[in-house]
Amino acid sequence: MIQNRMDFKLGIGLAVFCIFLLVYLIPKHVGPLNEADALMPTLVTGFVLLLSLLLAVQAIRRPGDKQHGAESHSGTKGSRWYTIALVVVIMSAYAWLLDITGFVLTSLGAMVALFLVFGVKRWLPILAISLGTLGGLYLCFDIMLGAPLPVGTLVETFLE
Amino acid sequence: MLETLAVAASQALTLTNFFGAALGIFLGSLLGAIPGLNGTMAIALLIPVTYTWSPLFAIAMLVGCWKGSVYGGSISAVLLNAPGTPEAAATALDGYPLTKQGKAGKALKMALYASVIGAVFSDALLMVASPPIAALALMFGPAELAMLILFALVVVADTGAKSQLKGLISTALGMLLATVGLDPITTQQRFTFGSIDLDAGIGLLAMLIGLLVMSEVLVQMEEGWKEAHAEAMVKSDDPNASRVTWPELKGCLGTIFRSSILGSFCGALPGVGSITAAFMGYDQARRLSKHPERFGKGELQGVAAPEAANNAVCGAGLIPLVTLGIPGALSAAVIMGAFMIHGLAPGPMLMVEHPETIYGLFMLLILSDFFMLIIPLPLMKAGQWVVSVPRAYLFPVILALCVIGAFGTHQNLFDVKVMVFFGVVGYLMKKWELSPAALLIAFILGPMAEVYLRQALKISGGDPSIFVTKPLAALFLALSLGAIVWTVLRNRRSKKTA
Amino acid sequence: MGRKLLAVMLAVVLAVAIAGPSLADNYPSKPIKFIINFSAGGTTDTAARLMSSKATEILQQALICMNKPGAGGTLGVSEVARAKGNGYTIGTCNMPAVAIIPLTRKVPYEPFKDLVQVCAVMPYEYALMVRGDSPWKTWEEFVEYVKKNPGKVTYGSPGTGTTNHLVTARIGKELGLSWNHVPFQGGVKETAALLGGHVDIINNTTASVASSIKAGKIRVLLVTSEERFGMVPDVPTMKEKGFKFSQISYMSVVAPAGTPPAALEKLSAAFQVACSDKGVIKSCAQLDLHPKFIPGKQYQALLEKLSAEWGALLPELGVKIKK
Repeated sequence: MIQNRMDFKLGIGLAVFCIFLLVYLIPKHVGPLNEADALMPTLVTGFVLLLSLLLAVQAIRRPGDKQHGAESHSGTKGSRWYTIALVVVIMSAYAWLLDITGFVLTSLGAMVALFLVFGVKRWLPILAISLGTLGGLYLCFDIMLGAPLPVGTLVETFLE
Repeated sequence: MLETLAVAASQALTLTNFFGAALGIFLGSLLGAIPGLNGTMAIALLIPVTYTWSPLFAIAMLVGCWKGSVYGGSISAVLLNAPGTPEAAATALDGYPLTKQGKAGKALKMALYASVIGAVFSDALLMVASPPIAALALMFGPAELAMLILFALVVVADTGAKSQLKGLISTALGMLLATVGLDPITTQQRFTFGSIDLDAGIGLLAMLIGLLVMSEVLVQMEEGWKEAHAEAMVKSDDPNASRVTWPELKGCLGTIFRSSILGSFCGALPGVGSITAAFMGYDQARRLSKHPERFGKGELQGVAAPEAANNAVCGAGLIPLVTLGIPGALSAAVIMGAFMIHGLAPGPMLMVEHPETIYGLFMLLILSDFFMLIIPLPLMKAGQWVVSVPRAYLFPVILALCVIGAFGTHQNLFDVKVMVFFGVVGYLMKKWELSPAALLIAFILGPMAEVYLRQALKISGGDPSIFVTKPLAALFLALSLGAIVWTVLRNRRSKKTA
Repeated sequence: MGRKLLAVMLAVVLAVAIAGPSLADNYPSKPIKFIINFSAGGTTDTAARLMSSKATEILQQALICMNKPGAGGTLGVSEVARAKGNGYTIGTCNMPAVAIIPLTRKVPYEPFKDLVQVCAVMPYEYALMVRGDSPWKTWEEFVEYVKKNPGKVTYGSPGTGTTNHLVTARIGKELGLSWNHVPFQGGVKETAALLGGHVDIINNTTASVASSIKAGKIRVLLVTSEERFGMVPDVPTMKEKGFKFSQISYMSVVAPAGTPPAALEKLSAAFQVACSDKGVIKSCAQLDLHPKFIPGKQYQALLEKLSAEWGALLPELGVKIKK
């Protein structure tokens, strides 16, 4: 049987990714191998491919270090995977909405959402910390440094 | 000469200028200490503000800001494992384990002392030995730099990974990521998928914030932040847990000295930079240590080495700037703007045309280094208080700062998306025991290696013998091979003993 | 409550839509975003900031400078091209970002359709230069050496497809020189390589190496701009040496297409005053920069001519063209 499942999966996954790079992405998005541009990406990808296959082979024979695996913690006190996914979703929304709804609204929304995800339920600290952070940043960037944070296209339309 | 020095001293050593330097150090260490924000950003944003100030005040403040931020980064690196600045990524490797042992105070103080020694060393070099060092730096052309970078890559390749194989994979992935953007020689697009934002490549700071800061929040969530929080709040029964004893400092002096030389060297070479210096400093400490196995588990030398190296970059980074008009490091390039706006065109004539200003600046820099011993102390205390706040209150703030930090550097919204993407990548890498630190350093060194190799081959007309016939290039090629042999031999020996 | 709010919002939107055309009359009524397409601390940035502070005085509205460096200046320019043409976003622009780079690779803007040149404000001054201790005292001596030693001489540029590269390559082609091009990443690394003796000759802006020239560390052999420089009055220009072309690139101010003509005029007038302002000229002169105003239409025509001229030559000079 495979001794270290995580490393085996990682090795195979990386190898598949490298092959995808070699046969599709590099020819399509860099150029043919005979050109200097493609040399470095191809060489490095080849190197990763080699190493990841090595990792997969090693994983078959050598057991992983059980004590340090991240799994040992999960399920006990740590957050479940969907909470982490939720944070990632909030952060992505934050990044994508920043342009539209601007720094103040987006940050406030995102921070409140994050506080709730992290289990802070009392509104006073939530608002105090969020508004304090945002106020400090606004003061720093917009007023002291004259480097404005994004206003947001939607907000801009309203302000006009 | 003496007269010049006297005039220089009277012009430079005023209360106002000292205040400028102190203010810079304070702002720098504050911004550096806040995960997500950093000094390069502060300097770039401060430059236009300084246009109306006197040159000495402005430059002393900007350099202070640079040094302060290089140190400040270590505060968040040590306390939270979330390096506030790229330079501090190496400091986190041993600094955070020390925090987990309840020795955060010790780690922070050691980082501070090492930083100050490194800074004084390199400022002294700047003052007394600029011309010969600049001449040495110029001897490094594409061929020499290619081999130097190769050497750096070889020695730092497995930094921070659990196994050598995974370290190498992380390194190679970093080099691969660095090829996104315009080809450095032909300027054709590589992996840009038609996006103009990717033409400029992946933004280093945005990637760093995601990879090291945001990912750490996700990791601590998974591991249970209550647990992580409790671990970090451990009280050590060592009575010296929050200070550095004299024997400890003495034991690190050799490392600090070697790191200072390394850092100054990296600073004087255009484009090598402080991140490389920090990792190389860390690596030399580990290689020359009698107990390399202690590194990564809370070895004090592992905190002192990178901090001395990355602070030594600052002063030395000004050497090619004031002697040749060529900035040695990223922040030095930005500081060059402050020289220019005040009519001080950097270059060989600077010392001839404005000796008072330049010598005055040198004196100011050296003296203000000692401010670093005091100014960050309250921040250190504040930092220790902040991490004692429950992480549920801390993390939303850190995540918001990550977003603003990624945006603020180039005021680019695309960078925020990059940051979030690498936050997830960093989380997965840590989960799979790959090393984000190795990826980061390879991301910086990889493209340099490619550019210098290809440039050298253009110079030689495609003949690879250029790497052997140029003495300095040959030296570093030999050193790289030596480092590989060393690693192999040491692995064999440690297997035998095990 | 909700309905009332909606009504108010609608009213605001309508009001904005109706008031839109008349906005130009009291232009500028709010601060203007000024996107600098090179990084903070460089020549373009310094000159732009010096001028913008003067322009601010004239327009009575702040010009907020933002740096958007990268990809040969195209990143900043594309940001301007994508902005709304209302006069509240403008930026700096270099010649290759509109006239050359769009020919060699895909950029997300049509250089002559999505952008309007407000005016050109400062010529970049270029020259071919060698180390101060090199054996070549004049351009002729250098050319003779290259001809006697084909394939041995290397010349540096700040990057492939820059005017520095193209002009030098074209000079080599017209004289039949056999020498190797080494592209560096920007003028700083190029200068370092020259000073260290790793390349024999470079084409760079004179302002960035003024101090080295004055110290005798760098010798200018041939001025590739149109006119001789005050700093090195004895060095001939390439036109004087019989070449039919020269290296022309200005720092210009651009606005998105669709910017009201009235706004363009006000901006152009403000920068014209800034370019001829004594304080600005003096500050620039300390850095060996020399502002010079050219009206937008005139510069646009020049750019179109240069684009056609260089476009035809690119393949011969060894630069890849967009597929």
